[in-house]
Amino acid sequence: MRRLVQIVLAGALIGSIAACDTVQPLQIGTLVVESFLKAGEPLPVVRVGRTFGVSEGLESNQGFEDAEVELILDGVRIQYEPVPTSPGLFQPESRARQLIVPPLASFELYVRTPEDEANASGSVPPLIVLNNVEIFAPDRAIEAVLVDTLDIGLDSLDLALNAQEGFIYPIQVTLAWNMISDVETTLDDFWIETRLEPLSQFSSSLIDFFLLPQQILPESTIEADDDGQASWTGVYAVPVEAADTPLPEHTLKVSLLRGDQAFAVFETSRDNPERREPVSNVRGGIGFVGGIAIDTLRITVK
Amino acid sequence: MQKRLILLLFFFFWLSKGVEVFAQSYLFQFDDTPLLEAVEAFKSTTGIDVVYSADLIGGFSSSCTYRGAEPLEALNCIVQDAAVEVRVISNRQYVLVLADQGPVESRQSRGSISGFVFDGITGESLYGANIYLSDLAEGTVTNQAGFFSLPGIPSGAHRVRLSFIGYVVRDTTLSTGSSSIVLELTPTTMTLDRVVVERSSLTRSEPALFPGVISIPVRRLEQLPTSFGGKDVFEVLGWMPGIQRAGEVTGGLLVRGSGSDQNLYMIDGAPVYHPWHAFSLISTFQTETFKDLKFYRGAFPAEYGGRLSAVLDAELRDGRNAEPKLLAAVNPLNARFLIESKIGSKSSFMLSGRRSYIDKLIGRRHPVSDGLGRRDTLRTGYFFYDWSAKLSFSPHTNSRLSFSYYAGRDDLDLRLPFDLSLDFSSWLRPADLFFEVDQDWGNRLYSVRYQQLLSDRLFLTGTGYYSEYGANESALIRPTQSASVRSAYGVQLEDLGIRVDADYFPTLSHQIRGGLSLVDHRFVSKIDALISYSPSLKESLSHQGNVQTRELAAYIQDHWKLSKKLYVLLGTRLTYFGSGNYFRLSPRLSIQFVLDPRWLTLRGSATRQYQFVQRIRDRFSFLYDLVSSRWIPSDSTVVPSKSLQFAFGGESVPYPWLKLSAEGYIRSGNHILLPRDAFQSKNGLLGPGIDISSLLGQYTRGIERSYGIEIGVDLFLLDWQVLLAYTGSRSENRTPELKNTTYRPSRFDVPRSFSAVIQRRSGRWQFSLSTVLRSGYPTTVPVARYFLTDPVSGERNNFFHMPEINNGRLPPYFRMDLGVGYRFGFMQANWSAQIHVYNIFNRRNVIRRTYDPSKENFVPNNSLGLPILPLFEIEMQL
Repeated sequence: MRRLVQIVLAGALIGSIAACDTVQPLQIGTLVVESFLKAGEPLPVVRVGRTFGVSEGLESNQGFEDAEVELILDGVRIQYEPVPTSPGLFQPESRARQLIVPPLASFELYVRTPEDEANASGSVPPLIVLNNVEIFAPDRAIEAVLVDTLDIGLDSLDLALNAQEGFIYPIQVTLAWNMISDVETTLDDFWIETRLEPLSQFSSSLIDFFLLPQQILPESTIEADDDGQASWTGVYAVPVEAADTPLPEHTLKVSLLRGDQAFAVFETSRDNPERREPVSNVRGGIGFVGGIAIDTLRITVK
Repeated sequence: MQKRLILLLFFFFWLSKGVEVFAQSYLFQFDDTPLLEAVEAFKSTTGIDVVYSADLIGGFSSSCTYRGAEPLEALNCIVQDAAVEVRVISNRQYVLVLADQGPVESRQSRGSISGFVFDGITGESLYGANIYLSDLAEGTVTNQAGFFSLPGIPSGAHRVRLSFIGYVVRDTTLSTGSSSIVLELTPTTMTLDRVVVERSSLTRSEPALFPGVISIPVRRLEQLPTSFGGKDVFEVLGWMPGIQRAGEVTGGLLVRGSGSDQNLYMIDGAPVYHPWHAFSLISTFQTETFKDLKFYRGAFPAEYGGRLSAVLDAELRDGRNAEPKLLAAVNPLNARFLIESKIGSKSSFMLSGRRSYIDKLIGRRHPVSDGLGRRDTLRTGYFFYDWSAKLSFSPHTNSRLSFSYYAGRDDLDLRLPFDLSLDFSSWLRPADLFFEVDQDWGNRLYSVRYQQLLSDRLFLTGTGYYSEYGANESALIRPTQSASVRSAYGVQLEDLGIRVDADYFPTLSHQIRGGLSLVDHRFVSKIDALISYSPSLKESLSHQGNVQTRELAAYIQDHWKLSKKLYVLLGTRLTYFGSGNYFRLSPRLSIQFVLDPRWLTLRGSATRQYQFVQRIRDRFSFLYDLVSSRWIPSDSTVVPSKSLQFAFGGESVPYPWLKLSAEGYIRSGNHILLPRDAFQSKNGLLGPGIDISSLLGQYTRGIERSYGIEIGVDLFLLDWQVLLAYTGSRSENRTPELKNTTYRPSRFDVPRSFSAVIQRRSGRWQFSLSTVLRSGYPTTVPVARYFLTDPVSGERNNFFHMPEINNGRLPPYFRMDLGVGYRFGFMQANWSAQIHVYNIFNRRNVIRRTYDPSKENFVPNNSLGLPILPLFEIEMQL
């Protein structure tokens, strides 16, 4: 009996030691494909590269030069060729460079390298045009908290409050555009992204969190007026020294984008690079290939 | 030389003859004298110690006359009419044992023995105590009321051994025909003269009749070291094989790789949905408020259901102490008390309370003003409390009625300016820009239980309960003079249940338990939020959800003793869940084979379990689901989660002070809700919303699997107590709906874990050293870099490529704690002072790790665990 107990215990010990970790070796060389087919604009370039080691520098460029790139746009095959001075960039063959990406076109993109193949598909949304931009700024600056880091963790007792109080001008901006009127498309298919970007990035992340400098939302949730015009209002901040400091003259870049759900998922997943990578729609690789409609304005605010 | 030897032999010869010459002559004359009295007279007359059980000879009398010098003959004469015989241990000690009554088969009539087993000190009933008929090699265990029944045994007196872990084994004699016998067991730890005396023995019980259960006497739990907040059941359970806490000092209990929401926690028959305080730092289960705790890993009896992984069934003390008891203690986190007493001869009560007091030290409200005459009140309030109460009424040994109440709550109330710093004078002033957080969460339950012994074979228990979990999260945040966020969010889960359980003892081989339960579940959630981006740009969110459903369950199980070595626990549970109209059958089987009572007991189990409520949380918005547990019921879209578990193991008690155990298991789970996007974490104000469909959109149905082996060593020798636990396991999951075909390590997968508790008592001192060494938790490690360009600006954005979730692991976790306790008497009370040093090596364990792709170097950003922390507790018991 004693012997049996010993055998059982020995077996248990061996079994326990056999449990092992599953740390995977680093993986390099995944195909990265990126291209935005913008409605109403010439055919885009396609960037084809690969991932590189985490210990390599930020400026590493692992662009392919010997990839085969083919775009099928509304059934038309268009071959791509490398851009001579930019490794990894591919442009449409010369006879197709003047082609314009038609709204509502469907596309398929195929990329072949000696080792890998990747492809992506989708459709191009209807054009989007900023009809109107209204800007409202208060007379005086207001108090605001400028916090760069705020991390409270009970387990780690991490408490980092780096708060400073200052003054900002909250600038309210209203964008207007025409809703989709094409009877063959539905609002449920598309998402809208809005961006208010002062060219000098001086807002704090906390202020941006409580204001509304950008947003991604389903177009179906945006109400339109009787004329079929939709609008969105956001707020961005311009910090100043004191409450009585006049609003400094600055340039604001206003962007309005329309894309499909894959584009919305891609855009919303790229804003936290310390925790995650963007959600890709490329099969056989990573990156993003999508159709978008975009309109931007640069406005001087004073 | 030869002459000296002859003289020496002569001397010894003379001496021996002399003894004979001076031997005492005895005279005993008894006529129908109680045997107890007669034996005592024998002891005092002869000076010979006679060991006997009062139960053995209590019913007999003696009629004997003896005159002579042979004490053995004298005693044989005294006990001649009793069914006992005298055994000589030494010249100075005899023992009375039950006389051999011949083969059992020769006796014709049969009878039964039934009764109750209680703690001899506290008077509490003992659930799971073993009653073993030594002469028949048959036995049974007590139910929750401490009741047992041994039907169909040969009529007459039987030698009975009572045993229960943590109690001194008791041998006695019981006769058939007597019902409602009250038996008492004495704990191995007894308080004598204000100093705790420990008996060094594991008091090995007879073969445990319910496999898979961890039954640890509360008295023993109280001795094991804990880190925070005094005696905590969950912390102590973390020392057991296969059980771990999710966080370093916080988080739920993870049992065999399961999620913490897959455990069922019960107090007096009522479920507790959120058994945590202080952001999961300490649990609501205070060790000293309970009289009994049962923890089932994997294979739990059919009377329990609705969870996949484990069951903790705790019963509040009912205050049946012979003497009133008062306990009070204080430590840095809380102060607590417990009082219990009898009320007359048939009733008793227990009342306990616990409250944190840091808010009393730093103050909850701070009126401030400035030179401009502005006034404000800043708030820094946080506290938690527990109230436990029980009132028991026992008009007769055969029946008992009890009312139980538990309420526990956490309350966080803050109003602070954003520009906090250690320089209080800089921010203790009226603030234009501030944040207010007002959150509270907790449980409340009422339970009424009636137990009735209907016959010596049938015991009935009826329980009615109301259990409520509620959480409220309110916030007012004003980061600028023109922007603000105001929100009020609340969730509530109410269970109104009734259940009837019956224990039936038809024969000695079968112990049947069956029951019915009906529970009405109600889930309520609501939010009202207003976000002001500017005076003219506002966004609001208002929603309320209300779901109600019923759960009906019936179960039956048979504890079947196939032979004296083979025990089977066979049961099944049928559940109907109203939401979704689900009928689910949960069979379970446990087998125990006693290969050798001392060397090896083998156990195996197979179970299938279903869970009809799951806990999930919104992963987008900061306005809700921050501290609250959000439970959702199964419905037409959420299929009840299912698990299958097989376990096999053995236990050996080679010496009374040493117990070895090993158990292996394999477990699978289906329809487990797992995050659809594992990387998604709260990052905005407005999320998809609080309705269940929005919440479910963030989750997908996953498959879990886990397997492992658990080894435990329990040593209890002299002044030493050692508890060693090793767990080697894997826990993995995959999400087939997302086309993930390969398993990946689950969030709290720990391949190897070792824990040890070493305690030594030396007089009034107690020293403890406890340590945990385990694999680090899984983490996602980038495997490559790449960049993408912004579609508008064309700027280059750097990213890490993380194709596999949980592909790496944090560094191993190691911590060692030290405890020193001193017990003393002062002012007629027992006092205990303890110093506990958490993390004596000040090792800063890595508990979280992120990577910044915008940096040139690939260096992780580590979040570190707690440093060395000394803690102090003083306890008084009256």
